Amino acid sequence: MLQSEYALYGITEGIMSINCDLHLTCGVVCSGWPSWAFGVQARRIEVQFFVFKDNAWRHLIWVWFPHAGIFVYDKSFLWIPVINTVDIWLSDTNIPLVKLHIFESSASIVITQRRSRQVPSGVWKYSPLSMKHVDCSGIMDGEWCFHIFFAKFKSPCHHLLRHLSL
Amino acid sequence: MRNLRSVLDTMAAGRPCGAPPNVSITSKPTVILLRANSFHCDGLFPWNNRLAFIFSPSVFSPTRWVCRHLTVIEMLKMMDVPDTLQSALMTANRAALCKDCPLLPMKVVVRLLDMSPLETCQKIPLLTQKRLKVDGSETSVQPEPPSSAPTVDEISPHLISSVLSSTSTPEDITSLEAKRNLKATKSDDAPVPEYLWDHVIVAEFDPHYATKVHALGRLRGLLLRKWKWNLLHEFLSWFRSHHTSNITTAGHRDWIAGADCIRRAWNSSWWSSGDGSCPFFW
Repeated sequence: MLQSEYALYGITEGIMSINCDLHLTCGVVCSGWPSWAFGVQARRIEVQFFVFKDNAWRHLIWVWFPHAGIFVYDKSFLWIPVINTVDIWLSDTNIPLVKLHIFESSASIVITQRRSRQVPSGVWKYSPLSMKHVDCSGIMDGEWCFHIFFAKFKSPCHHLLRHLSL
Repeated sequence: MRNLRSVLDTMAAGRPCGAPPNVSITSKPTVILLRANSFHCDGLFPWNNRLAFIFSPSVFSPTRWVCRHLTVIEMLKMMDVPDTLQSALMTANRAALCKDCPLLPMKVVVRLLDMSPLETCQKIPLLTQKRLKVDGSETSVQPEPPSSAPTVDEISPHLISSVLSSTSTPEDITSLEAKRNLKATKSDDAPVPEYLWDHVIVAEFDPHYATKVHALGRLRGLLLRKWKWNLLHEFLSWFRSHHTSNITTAGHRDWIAGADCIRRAWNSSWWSSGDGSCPFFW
């Protein structure tokens, strides 16, 4: 559990606020510590996939998320079965999400820390957001920028399906 | 608001130093630089300077203060790594995690997810079902603008404002907690931090936080009343079983003592015994 507000004299177990009753699934593209995965797990969002190029925590990720699929990023990998099964994609790495065809998937929200280019603007609404740790009851002066893409429509991955049909 | 002091271990070793100057605790803490690369524990930690020295209280130092780096455990707590994960990590992994520069604190992740309109994930309309058929006519079908589902511009400000408003109460609690934790020893008549118990049942960011906390108070009142009546019945049944017909001197003494116990119990609240307490001898 998170460090609580009152975790001062050894009381370090707090109560997570869980306000998500939906059964949502997500995929995490990460290069290091999978903070996204623990965060979404705290919100009862199921992590279905991890994608990374080279991650030192991959063995522990496999232990902590035994039901999640782990994929090593490869340009020749066929992503179609993967990308269309989750509602949310989260990324903190420089792996280009466009090359993963994530913006042609049926996901509803894509959150990344690196600005993605060549995103089809007709389907996705872009919304940047920056958050300070201290504003989240943290104790560091760090600030993080997020690039959030909301789907205007739930795309059924038409581009890739069209290629398949040929 | 929390500050660096909330994760510091007062038993960690360090170089003894003089007490830092007192700083006024504001509503929003900042990084307090005392001297080159040394920071006050009542402020924030400089995120880009992991090797910063911190003026930390210490129980072993003759001056009660030491100047030191953060320990690995403190660093992980600061970066919101859950305790369960900390205990599961090996020492080398903990050290590596402390050096993980792009690490995203989990409180930021959770707050961001709270602000995201996750519930709209299942309400977003499909582009069109016709496109799925891939029959050659898919390019002629243009997506209709969503009529029922609100747009992101409509959703996000509302949700963000609702999240912020729902956290107003916990933030008040946070300031209360910060004041409460400033004192290592609490006075006898210090108010009971009821929210510590409430938070076990009601989440801080619950949209119905005030209603549920109020309901918990009523529930406690009912259970307290039931306990008081049960106590009275227990005493009366015990008294009847031990002193049958004629009340002796011992019976009179038991009655007086029991009445005192019952009186004190009935004047107590869920949290404290206002009139003190007596041992229930029956």
